[in-house]
Amino acid sequence: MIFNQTFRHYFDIACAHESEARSDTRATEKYDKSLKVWVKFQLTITDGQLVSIHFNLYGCPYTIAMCGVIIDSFLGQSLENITAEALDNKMGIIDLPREHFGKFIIIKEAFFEELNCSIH
Amino acid sequence: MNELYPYYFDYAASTPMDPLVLDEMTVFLESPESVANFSSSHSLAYAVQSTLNEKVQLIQNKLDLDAHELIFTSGATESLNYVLRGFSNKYPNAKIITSNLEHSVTYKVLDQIPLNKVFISNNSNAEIDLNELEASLKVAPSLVSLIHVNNEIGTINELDEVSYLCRKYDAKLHIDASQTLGKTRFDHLFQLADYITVSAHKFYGPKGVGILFKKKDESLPSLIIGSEQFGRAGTLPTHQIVGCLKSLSLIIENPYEKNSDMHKAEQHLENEILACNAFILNAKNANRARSILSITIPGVHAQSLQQMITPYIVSVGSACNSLSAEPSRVLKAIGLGDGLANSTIRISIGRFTKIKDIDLMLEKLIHCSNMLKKISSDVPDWFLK
Repeated sequence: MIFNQTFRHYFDIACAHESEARSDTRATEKYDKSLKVWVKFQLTITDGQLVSIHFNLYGCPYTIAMCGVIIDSFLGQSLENITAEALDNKMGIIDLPREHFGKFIIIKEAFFEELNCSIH
Repeated sequence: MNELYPYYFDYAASTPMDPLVLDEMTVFLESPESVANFSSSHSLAYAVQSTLNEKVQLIQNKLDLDAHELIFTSGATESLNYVLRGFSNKYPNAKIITSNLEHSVTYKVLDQIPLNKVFISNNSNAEIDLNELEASLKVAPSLVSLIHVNNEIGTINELDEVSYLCRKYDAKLHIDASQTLGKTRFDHLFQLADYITVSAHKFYGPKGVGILFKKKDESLPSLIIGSEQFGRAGTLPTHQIVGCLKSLSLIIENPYEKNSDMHKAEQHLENEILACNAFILNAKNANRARSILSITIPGVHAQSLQQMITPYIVSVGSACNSLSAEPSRVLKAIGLGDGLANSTIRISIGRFTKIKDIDLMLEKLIHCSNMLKKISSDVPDWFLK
């Protein structure tokens, strides 16, 4: 696996990220056994701002780095800045290898589904 | 020298070159005879022919090789191709018998061969079923091609009985001994096999060169057409061969059986792994080369762990499978499901590994495993198996 320094940076952000799971049961899980990725997000929104991201994940280093990108890009941001387009742009900048796009979609869907549920 | 490779735990993929091998190659490369083409007919060529022939003769004497000759190849991949494809070309109605525990190259070559193929089954200790082998051997002519020391899990194929059966049914035996030298005893293999494959970079020699030991009375059509020296067409890479023969002679002079430092390091590593409840040592009770450990850590994605423990270098499955998304065939053959196979790393040590470096690596391995387990703590068991 070729893993460049940019991804390593986000990989480390995800590994170092500390966030307790919320006490309620609200969470969004997604998985794809063939892609060997399982992910769960719990988000806390306060006053229109994403104040905590809790994730749980089994997957390759790229999937961990993807969670690091989400944390780095969206934690502490107001909701209007948290868009699928913003995440796509970020992934474009870090040049995610094509063969990992499927995993990215799983993680992206889980994150935005949980975001929408947390808003409502 | 012992301080040169403190982070390297992937000796089964490739070993560092022994400085004595490098010295021997350097001396040769700086000599006038290194310029000559081995096949030429001038004085420099005679000199290099004499040098190489002497070194080969020395190896033959040391190993007591009366029945075998040496073919220098580019490594184990070429040797496997030579034997499997050569046999197929020579005996189009024959069959090839192998196992589900071979190096991935074997399967890639067999995919291209139109012969009948038989894959002998094995148990969880990677022992092949000899009754099944015997039943398959009854239809001759056959070639049996088996790995000796498994590159992923370190299990040792006991081949005495296999060799006996091959002789009984007039089949040929090829042993892939790529991982054998420096990891366990190997000299007895010459009594057992018609063909033996070794690769220099697996036993502290240079990359790009290997030896196919072939019985003198065996002949297979060459893969490469041209003028042959030492049984293979193409200009001999003389400096590589000098390095290969030096690394082989070092193994013969200091065999694994007498390397007490390595035995201590292996014992220490295994004890520490077994002491850690989170780790499962695969094929634990099998006869194994103890310098290769296959370790499953349930709940931990092996590639993520491999990234996280940088700068320590370990392997995920076998090196050749590392880019593949498919779980290792060998791990599946000893009973691991896809999930557990994806949670398996290989740690392999060698001549230059120090016990203190093992301890430091294990400290980081345990720390990183715990971090990844925390990240995946909610993942359901059904997904991980």
